Amino acid sequence: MDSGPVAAVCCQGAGVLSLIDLTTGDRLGTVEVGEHPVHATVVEGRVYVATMGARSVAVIDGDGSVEPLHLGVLGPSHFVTARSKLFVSCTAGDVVAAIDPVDVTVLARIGVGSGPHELATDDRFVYVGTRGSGTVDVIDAEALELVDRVRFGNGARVEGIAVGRDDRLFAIDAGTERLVGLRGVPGAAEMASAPIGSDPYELAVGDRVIVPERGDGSVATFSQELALVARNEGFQTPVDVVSVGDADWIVDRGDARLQRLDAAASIPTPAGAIRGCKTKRGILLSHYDDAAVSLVSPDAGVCWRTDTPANPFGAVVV
Amino acid sequence: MDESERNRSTRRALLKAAAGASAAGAASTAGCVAISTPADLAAANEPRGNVEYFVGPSWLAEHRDAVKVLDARQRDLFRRERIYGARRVPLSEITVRTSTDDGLVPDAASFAETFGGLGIEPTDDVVVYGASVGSRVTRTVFSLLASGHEGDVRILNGGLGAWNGRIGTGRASSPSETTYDADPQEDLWVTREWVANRLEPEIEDDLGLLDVRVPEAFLAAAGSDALDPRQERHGHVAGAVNVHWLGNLDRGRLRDAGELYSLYANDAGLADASVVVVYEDENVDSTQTWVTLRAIGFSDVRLYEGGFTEWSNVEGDHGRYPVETATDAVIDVEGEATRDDGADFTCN
Repeated sequence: MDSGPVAAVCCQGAGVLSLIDLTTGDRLGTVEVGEHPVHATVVEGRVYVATMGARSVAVIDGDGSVEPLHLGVLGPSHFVTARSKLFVSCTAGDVVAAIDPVDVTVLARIGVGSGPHELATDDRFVYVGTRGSGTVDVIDAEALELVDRVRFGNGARVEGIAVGRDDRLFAIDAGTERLVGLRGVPGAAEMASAPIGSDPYELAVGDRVIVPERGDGSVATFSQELALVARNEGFQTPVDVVSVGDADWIVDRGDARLQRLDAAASIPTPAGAIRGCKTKRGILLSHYDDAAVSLVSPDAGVCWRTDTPANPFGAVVV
Repeated sequence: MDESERNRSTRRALLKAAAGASAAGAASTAGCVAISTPADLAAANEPRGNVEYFVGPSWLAEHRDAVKVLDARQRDLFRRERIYGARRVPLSEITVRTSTDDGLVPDAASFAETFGGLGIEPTDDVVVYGASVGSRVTRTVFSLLASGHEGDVRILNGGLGAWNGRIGTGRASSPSETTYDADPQEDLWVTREWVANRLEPEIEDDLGLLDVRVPEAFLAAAGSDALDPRQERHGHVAGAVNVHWLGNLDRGRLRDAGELYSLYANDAGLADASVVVVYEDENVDSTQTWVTLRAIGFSDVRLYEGGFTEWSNVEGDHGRYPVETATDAVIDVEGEATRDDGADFTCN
């Protein structure tokens, strides 16, 4: 694989990773990785691709060779790295797999609630939001053991999860449409919650907690104590938040614009986007519904647009 | 029975059926169009295709004196009407399991004691029947083979309804007990640990895992009555394909062997599996598919005796025993059996 700035974009509908020159937008090629690639990460010089339609992750070595690393459970979807290990949720099952990224071996599968989805970490623990069981499960990243579980109750479906400051943890319960604040381990527990708009999914946590409310076309901002600071409207289907400097940019699947949360700026984009990846050259937008990606600079607008195979989703710079 | 003998039997059955059809044709000219003759019945219940285990009523009529007949139905049905001379096998006695470090295993010694009590000897040729060819029948077959039965074991296709021979009623006389020493056939079943070992990370082998429950249980459909409250987790063993066992049946008989082979080899993707493991919640319904797959030519088919209830309730970290929910590996099938044959509904 070339050593220049290359965007590797998971094209979910085509089963490939599309490689794109981040500077020019030129297409460099595709790499077949398996069914439904959704997210990728780079660890120890290798690209790991979560192929949700397989019981394995694809591992792309520095020489471009691709090998599946079999997990035995369907639906690898999200990655985090903690304690020099790579963790991946198997969202069609009820385990998180821990991978040794040096030896490229599976160290363990840790049983968690049903439908583990997004992961977050403070480097000591891996926090797992589960969609089927509606729990936040806590894995000791060193011992590779489940050490705690917070149950959100009937109807809960935990989607986004992120670590805040002072051992705080935030999770989106899409089932009951709540933003939940938790205390980390030991004795992980729900501390507070706040109602949020319909069809929430992701969240971004900095000094404040930002929650796109996809079904309402709005974005809610909370303090870390879960006090509602603002609810910004005027979006179509806000799905993701990318923070650049002091500005939070909202990625909107239903609107061909990248808008600042505070409405101070708006950049026309080639199409609506499902995800934004922050890079040194700008924000890489995945136009999932239009089979394209574009690089957008907050200062200079759209730098380039490039067609991709079907359904570009998660991206990583390699 | 060797191949030539089987072919001769099949030919005889066809000839008898043809003779019956002629008689029915003659009768129809006299205005008896709706009459179903014994030959019609026999022909309708001949196994279709090249299958092991299953025989039609013509075969049984021809070999009645040479085989011992086991009735797999409930006691009240047995007393009401049965094949004359049949002995009833209590289901509860052939589903007994023993707990081992590796998980639950069939208690072959217990089965053998039951069969001995029914006057069965290990070398006897046996025909098992039920109300149709449902899972009570096949559990009996499994129990015989798991005990190391040496004689031939066959199933009456179509069940009692296919039989036009002599009938018995009321309380049956007790047969003379025999000594039946179990010779457990451990290659016919697998344990929880056996399955878990094959699902270890980084092992990508050619194991075929077949879940025979209703799709709602397989998919852990929220709110479904099919979810067993005794199970701590819902869904299916990771990697399994779902084909409901009733799909093996067509009006209480074994479906055409060609259709079945296509269903399992192609639709379910088991053509290249070196071993196929079949399971359900417990250990009865799964035997129907276990027998069916063996009958149509799958060479290494094993029963996960502990079933999904054991798998889902494993203690401690379940990372070694993963359960999946969100898959699309459900093969739609239709079929039906009677309640007394292990089915409590029609699958369609």
